[in-house]
Amino acid sequence: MAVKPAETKDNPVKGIAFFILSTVFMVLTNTLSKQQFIMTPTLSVFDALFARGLVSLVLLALYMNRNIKAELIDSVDSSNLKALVFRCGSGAVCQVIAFQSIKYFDVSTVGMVCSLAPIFVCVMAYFLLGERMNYPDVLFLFSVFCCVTLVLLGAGSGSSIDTPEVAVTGGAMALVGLIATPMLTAG
Amino acid sequence: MRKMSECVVSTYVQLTITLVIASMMLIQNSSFSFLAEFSMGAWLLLIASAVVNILGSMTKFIAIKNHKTSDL
Repeated sequence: MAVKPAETKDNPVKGIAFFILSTVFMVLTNTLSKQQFIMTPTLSVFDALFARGLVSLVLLALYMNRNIKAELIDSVDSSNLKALVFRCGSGAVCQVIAFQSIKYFDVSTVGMVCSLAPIFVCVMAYFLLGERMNYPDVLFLFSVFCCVTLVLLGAGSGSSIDTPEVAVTGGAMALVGLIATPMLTAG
Repeated sequence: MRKMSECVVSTYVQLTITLVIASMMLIQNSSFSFLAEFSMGAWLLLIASAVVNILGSMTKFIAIKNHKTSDL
């Protein structure tokens, strides 16, 4: 049985409602992941990602039930392949970095930095998709950037980097990752 | 991408992550025995995290299907 998803027209209200819902779910994911690291201190970033990926795959296979071939192979045509490969690559890198950040920083700090994603989305959407922005959009994005910077500067010690070794290796990686996360999320 | 089903992208992303991480763990000679050492609470947390993560990416994809990316 081939699955042919219907062509959808733009529905801003539905789009925004689902995006808010998605944001809530993503915050919940970050919180649960942090809780997982607290509950199992020996768990590495790779272990946590592998375990969650495995469980997610099982759940998705159960959700798709018998339509796995129709959903995963028949619904992907060659015109979508490049975008899908890019999405998979950036999604994978993004999740590794996000987990690294969550392990070493507070969830609130990671969440604040992720708030910068709209800035990268708008820049990428302008260059890749040709979507235009108005002056108010640019103004509000700039104000978001200023607000996030101010909150982060005033956040004080928001990290769990307590040993010199961690500070040099994992901490530095997490810091770079923290800054890269919104850019990759935007992709 | 907008014509695809919501769970297709999530599945491919999770598949990529699982395969890449498994390969890296094999290269590093890491053990997969940590899965057997999880407590019941850790498993519940893991399943909850996976469910919420799937819901998050699916709802985000539905949002992108319905509205301009830059506005979202």
